[in-house]
Amino acid sequence: MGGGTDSATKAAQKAEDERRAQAKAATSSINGIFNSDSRKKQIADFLSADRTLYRTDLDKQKHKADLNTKFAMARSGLTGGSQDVDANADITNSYNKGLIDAERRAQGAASELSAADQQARLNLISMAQNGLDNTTGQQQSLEALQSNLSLAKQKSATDGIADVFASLTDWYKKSQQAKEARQTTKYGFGSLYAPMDGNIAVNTPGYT
Amino acid sequence: MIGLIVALAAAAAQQYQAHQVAVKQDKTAAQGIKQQSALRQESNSALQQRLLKLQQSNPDDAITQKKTGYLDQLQRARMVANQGLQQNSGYSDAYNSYADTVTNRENTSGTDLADLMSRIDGPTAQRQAEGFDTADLGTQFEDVARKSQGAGFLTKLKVNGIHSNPWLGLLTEAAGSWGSNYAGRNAPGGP
Repeated sequence: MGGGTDSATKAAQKAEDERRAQAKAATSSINGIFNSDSRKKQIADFLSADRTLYRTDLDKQKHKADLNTKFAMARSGLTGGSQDVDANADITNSYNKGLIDAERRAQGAASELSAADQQARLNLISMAQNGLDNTTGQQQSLEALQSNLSLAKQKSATDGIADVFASLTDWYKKSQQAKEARQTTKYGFGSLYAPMDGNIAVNTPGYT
Repeated sequence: MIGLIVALAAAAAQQYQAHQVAVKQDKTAAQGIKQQSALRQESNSALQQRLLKLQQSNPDDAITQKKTGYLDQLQRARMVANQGLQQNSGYSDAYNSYADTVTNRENTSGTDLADLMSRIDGPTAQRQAEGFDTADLGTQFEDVARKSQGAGFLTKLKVNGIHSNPWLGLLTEAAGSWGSNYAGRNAPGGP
């Protein structure tokens, strides 16, 4: 009778089986890539770099705060006193807070990178499945691109940490102002025009 | 008897013709499906290439590129950066020695910072590049989808265009009618 009439059905079945197999293989490959040790290592290294950046910044700030406090105490004659201990306790407290904040920021930045990877993974799986279906993948690819580009906008990865020891600046400034005030009056002694406040310990060079 | 044979032959011919049409339509549809499969292979090939590239993707090149840029910038600005730490013959040896130590320390600090920033910016740049590649894959999919739509439309036109031969249909119908009439007229007890 000139052949059967089920070759289209067979071809469609074969095509569908192939499509499913390809989509399954692609999904598995994509998951494998994004869950690989290599990706985890990339994110771990990113976290480590972020952590070191913040820590270096914080340590520099602490070094400056230590020096400022040391000189402020010395200027005020409070070195070795309870005020000295309290000021250093403040530094320790601020430093600890800064450490936690730095760690949070570093982990937050790493999480954003990881989330971008997961978003890219899901978009690519969706694209692969739709693309193998010979339907449009364009919109999703643009979404994927948008997701990856928005990563560039995230600032948390490289923003410096704020001045952790800002609360101590006030103390340092006051000691500086006191120093300047002393300088102004110190050398006024003996001058006809300069004011004298009568404090001989302050106004007489070499007098202790 | 002759009328019956002619009527049966006409019916068989009609049936045969209908079957031939169905077979042709089936073959054309199957051909269209195979064509779609070939297009899907094209998409799959693009996808496999993309996945291979993604598998090999790492931030090393981006890190190196960023770091080179940062270090170049530091190198160009080094004179300006270290202006306040220059050796001065009018100052004490202790000052000059300390200034030297600090200069080296700060230069190392700049290099370390370049290293850290490139390790932070590198993976971000890598992912941006991956995003561009994925968008490119989407464009390739879109191209295949257009071809697929065009091929599907043509297949539909081809399938719809397959009809039985009208002259042959007319002939078999006429023969069938004649055979039926003839058989009716010559049947026992007929007119």
